[in-house]
Amino acid sequence: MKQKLLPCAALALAAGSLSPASWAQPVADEARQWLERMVQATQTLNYEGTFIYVQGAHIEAMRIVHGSGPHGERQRLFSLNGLPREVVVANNSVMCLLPRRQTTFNGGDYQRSPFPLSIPREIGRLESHYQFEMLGADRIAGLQARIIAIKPRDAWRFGYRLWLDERNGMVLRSALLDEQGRPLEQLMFTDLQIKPQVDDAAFQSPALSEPSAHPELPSPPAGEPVQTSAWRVGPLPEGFVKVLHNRLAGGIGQRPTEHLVFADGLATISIFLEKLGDAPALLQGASQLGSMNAFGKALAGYQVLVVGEVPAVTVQHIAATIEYDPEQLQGPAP
Amino acid sequence: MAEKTAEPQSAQAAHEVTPVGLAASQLSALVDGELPEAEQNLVLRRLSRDSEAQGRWERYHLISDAMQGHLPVRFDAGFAARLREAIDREPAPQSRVSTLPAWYKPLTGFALAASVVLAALFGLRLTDPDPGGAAPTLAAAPAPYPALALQGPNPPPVSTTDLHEPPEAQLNNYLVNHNGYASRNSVNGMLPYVRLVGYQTAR
Repeated sequence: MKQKLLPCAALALAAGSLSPASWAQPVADEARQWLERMVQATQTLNYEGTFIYVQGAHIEAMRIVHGSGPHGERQRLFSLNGLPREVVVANNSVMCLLPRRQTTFNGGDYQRSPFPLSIPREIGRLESHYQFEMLGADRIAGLQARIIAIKPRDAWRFGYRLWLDERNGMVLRSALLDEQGRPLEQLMFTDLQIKPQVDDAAFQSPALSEPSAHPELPSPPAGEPVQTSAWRVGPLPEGFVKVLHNRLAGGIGQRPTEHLVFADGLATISIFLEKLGDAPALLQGASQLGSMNAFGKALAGYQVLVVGEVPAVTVQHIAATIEYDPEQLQGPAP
Repeated sequence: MAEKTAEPQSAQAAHEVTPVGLAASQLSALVDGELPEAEQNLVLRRLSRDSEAQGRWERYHLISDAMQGHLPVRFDAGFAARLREAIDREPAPQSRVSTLPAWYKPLTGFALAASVVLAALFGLRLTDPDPGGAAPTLAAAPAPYPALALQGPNPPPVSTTDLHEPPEAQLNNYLVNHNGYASRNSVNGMLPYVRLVGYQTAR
């Protein structure tokens, strides 16, 4: 149906080269409608495609297969170059094949956490913190695309640029832009095929076996939601809402760790509070993990780590507000 | 799935047979080297056919090692799969193992590590690539991290650092968890997983 295009790295590397001054006249309503279509498309369409991913000086080619089946949404994502890496999401499980860290698991607790799922859909709310603009048309992977600019209204978050398929809103290309509007991370399809149905075989990973292969086995319980916590997180930048507060593996041998997730609908920030015991702190100070910024500190025998696809100043600010207050345990969590 | 065929009678008569087929006590005894030699062959043969038991067998080893403070620096999670192959074909299949990339190191993330622990505790098996398939990569992947997690509430005698895991690699644990949840809270749920896959070579 479509011709395959050669990956065009140069084009991808040039993404984000539009200066902030070139932002077009705001057409917020139209942009919002496109974003709604995008959310819908990325979740419900069946598709297979190849894209390149550029992050800093690194460039990658990856393949994605996405579809819905009797057990819900399924996705298989794997690298096409370098060390084999793969993520398979199916049947409420996430399985990873990652080098250095390796490997497969049944992540049953991953998708079961009871937190609101509506945030991505509350696109209207985004407008308090981001400005939407339509930047015209383009062509990606041989498909006509509309360009949407999402510009942060403050310095706490990054900007985005999205190229959406004119037919259905599927994201064909995206760029994460830093405070100066420079691309931090880009993704661009070179080939995308929307299908009525994706063959089961396309989801089969030679390296990762299907988690549904053992439906008779009990699923591991979800990370336990935290009712009371000794931790207090100061006011976050406006718009970030707590969507999760779980205790991971507490009491079953793993070092107890609390995991908090905050999201503004586009950006996500995690706070990890891991009891160190005698172990040294993993990270004190700022660090960049791929396109994500992290800030760590040791506090009261815990590793505090804030990480998210937000500017360095944001994670640092949040880390600074985190306090340990065992007396909090007497009352409900904030 | 329960494989409860009659076994030749021997000292195992009193063994409790688990729903997954192979007697837990036999497995345990095998791990501890306390299984009579006459039974070893039988148990190994059953083990070779029972992928569930293979997973348990590995975990028993982990538990045993953890309890005795003999945790290996690197634990080979794919041993059972290769054991089966070794039994199927007499010549030791070390060629498969030798193709193992040296950089494969285990586990990704606490939730993930936790899952493995839970898998061990609740009888869930580790996701095991088809040992008969053509993808030995994972079967041959070592897995020290879950071993650490199995050591119980007391601080382990070795820290993760002792397992030759650079702090930076440990930070990946956070990334896996972060991106797992981020994928569900962003309008572009695909990107967090892309970041996860793409991050690995970003160094």
